[in-house]
Amino acid sequence: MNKDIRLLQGNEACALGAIYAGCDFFGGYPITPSTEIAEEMALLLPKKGGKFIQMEDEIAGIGTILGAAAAGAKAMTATSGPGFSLMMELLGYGCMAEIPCVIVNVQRGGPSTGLPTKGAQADMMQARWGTHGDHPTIALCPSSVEESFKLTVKAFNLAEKFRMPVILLLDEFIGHMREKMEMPAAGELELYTHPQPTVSPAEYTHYGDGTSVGGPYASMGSGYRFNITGLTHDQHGFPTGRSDEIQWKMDRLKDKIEKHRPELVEVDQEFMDDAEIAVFSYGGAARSAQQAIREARAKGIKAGLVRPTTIWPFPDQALEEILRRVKTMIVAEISQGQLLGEIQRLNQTHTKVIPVQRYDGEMLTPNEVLNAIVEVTK
Amino acid sequence: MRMHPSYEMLRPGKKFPHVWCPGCGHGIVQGAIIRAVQKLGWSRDEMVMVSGIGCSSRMPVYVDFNSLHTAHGRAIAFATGVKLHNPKLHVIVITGDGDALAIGGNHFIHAARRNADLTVILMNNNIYGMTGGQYSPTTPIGKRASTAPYGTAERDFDPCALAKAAGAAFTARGVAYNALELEKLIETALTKKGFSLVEAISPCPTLYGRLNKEGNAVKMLQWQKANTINIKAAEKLPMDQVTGKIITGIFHDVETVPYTEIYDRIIKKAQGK
Amino acid sequence: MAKNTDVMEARLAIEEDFKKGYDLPVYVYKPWCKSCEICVAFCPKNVLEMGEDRKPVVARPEDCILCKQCEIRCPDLAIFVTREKKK
Repeated sequence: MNKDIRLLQGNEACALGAIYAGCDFFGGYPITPSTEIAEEMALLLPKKGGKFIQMEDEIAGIGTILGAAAAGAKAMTATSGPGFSLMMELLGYGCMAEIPCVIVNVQRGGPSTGLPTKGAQADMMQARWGTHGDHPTIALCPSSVEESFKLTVKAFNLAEKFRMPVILLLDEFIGHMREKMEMPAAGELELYTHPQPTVSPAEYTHYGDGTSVGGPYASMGSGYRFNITGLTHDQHGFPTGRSDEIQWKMDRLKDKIEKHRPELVEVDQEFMDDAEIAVFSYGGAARSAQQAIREARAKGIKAGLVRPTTIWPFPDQALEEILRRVKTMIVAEISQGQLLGEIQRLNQTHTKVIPVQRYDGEMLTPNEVLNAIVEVTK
Repeated sequence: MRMHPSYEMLRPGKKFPHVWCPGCGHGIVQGAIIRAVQKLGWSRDEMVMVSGIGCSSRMPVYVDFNSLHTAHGRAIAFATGVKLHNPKLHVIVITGDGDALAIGGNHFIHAARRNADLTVILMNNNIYGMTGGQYSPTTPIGKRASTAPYGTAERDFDPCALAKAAGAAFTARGVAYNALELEKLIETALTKKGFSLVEAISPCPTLYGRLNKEGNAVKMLQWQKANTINIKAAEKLPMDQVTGKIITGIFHDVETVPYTEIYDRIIKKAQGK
Repeated sequence: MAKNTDVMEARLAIEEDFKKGYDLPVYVYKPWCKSCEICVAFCPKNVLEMGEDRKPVVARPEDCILCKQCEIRCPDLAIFVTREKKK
């Protein structure tokens, strides 16, 4: 059988990954540099009977996908910086109401209107803490066109399983980069769809199955009638002010992540077996970091790459272990230190941590990372 | 003996009485909605009640439908997604004057423009009740509110005119006092294809009534009784007898093809059928 | 403050009263009544008046014409007529 190899943009691959994952609803608002995702979905969704709608703003974009998802859709929206800011309130709604959906943020330079056509990695903390209140967060971060496809599929799977919005934290560099990828055949990638309840409607409680991960839940219109609210609620979805019920709900949201870190966190490592210098980087910046460690190895320097594809939950355990065994960690990012802060939080062994940052709208280059590696060896 | 006919539509397990203040018109509107759905004989499983935030928006939890209590102003955006994904569902949006016309004003006009197949019940009490009586986009100029201690300096919206201008298929207004007319208007709106709006004027005795010295719930309903004119009667009256009155009835009613049906055609086109 | 009840508890309590022989044309389910007096004010036949507990009392049942003005206007679904009009 012939392989299906295509030359694709990261944004196109994201849209194709969504279709592969079974996405049947997209709502959004045009914004650079994410718009290609909406355009692709507008073209592809109706072909398979799915729905695309361009809303009046990004708030409506996320609102409409939450509504569609509550009615049973596999739903997605895509946006960038300012649009992501507008979505923050309803991102929290999705967490509280436990509605599965995928939110793509193709990061651009900020703050404010910032740099619409230039990339950045400075929404990492917004993805984690942008909405108010304590809440769970899952954010995935592709470093290639192929990963943009595959992590979009994974984002849908995790959304379905964990009953919550999952953020795909792309950046303009990967979103607009073209490279070849081999399209996964049908059935090649695992797809997860949440189970439907089997109890009678009278016995059904929307949040009452005792488990928040992998359990069954119903869609509106399926014969199970229930209430969804952004107010803190009991297992039936009724608003509550009782502290025992509030505690139950908040623990339920927290445990989703805390009790399932091993299955959520993925960290790619290259040349790390004997590495003395680790470069920690994700997304677009990791491409330069990868090139840099390969060139360093060619010079005989024991450098390796640590590259998470899950940025939230943060790979604490893997990082702590690596920080204990390397002499130096270089943190390469296109931000003023959002990633660096997390490494410093975890660095209990006083490993030397060196930032390599760029935030002038341009891509961090392999040379900039390589220079930092070489500097360490002097 | 006859049991209260609305009880079969109330949410099992939910404690009553509901959250609204004594004499709040919202309970009367809720009764009219329940009766309208009962008259149509629609299955509760097909009903979705979507609301935003505010006094009115607390309604869905009390009614045994599929219910979605969303964020402030965003009910119509959520409802659009529900309806577009599953057009078989009957989607009612429960909203208030602040929810629909201030924070949610953009969604309101755009849903009317794209003719989303929703029925919006806008419970207009001319004030923000939940937060304690601040002025809203429908507080008449000069009226008092907690944020307008000397009277408001702003003009108010006419939600029915706004929706019509934006492209709604159906607009109507009723008052809580005339609960039977309101019920009929809601029933008609529910059966309309496309974006339909029923503005239900609902007294807020606790805040609006007290701040504006309009008396208790009974006095406010008596005022409605004395100052409401149906549009058919109003059209025959001289202007000076209509000014300052609440005009009720159907203002706008046209046959349209709703968004969901047009999108179905797009699907066929995309699939080359 | 009266204990809040759900619709099943309300039904059971009302049916219990019916079984015990409640025979007035209007029934007031007091746990849900908030004493707004709308039913009393808009009864066209002056059947209702406020009792000492600030809940409506069916004072003149013989005057009731089963018009349901109280039932449709009660914001709290706390009052209803107990029989249909004879046609």
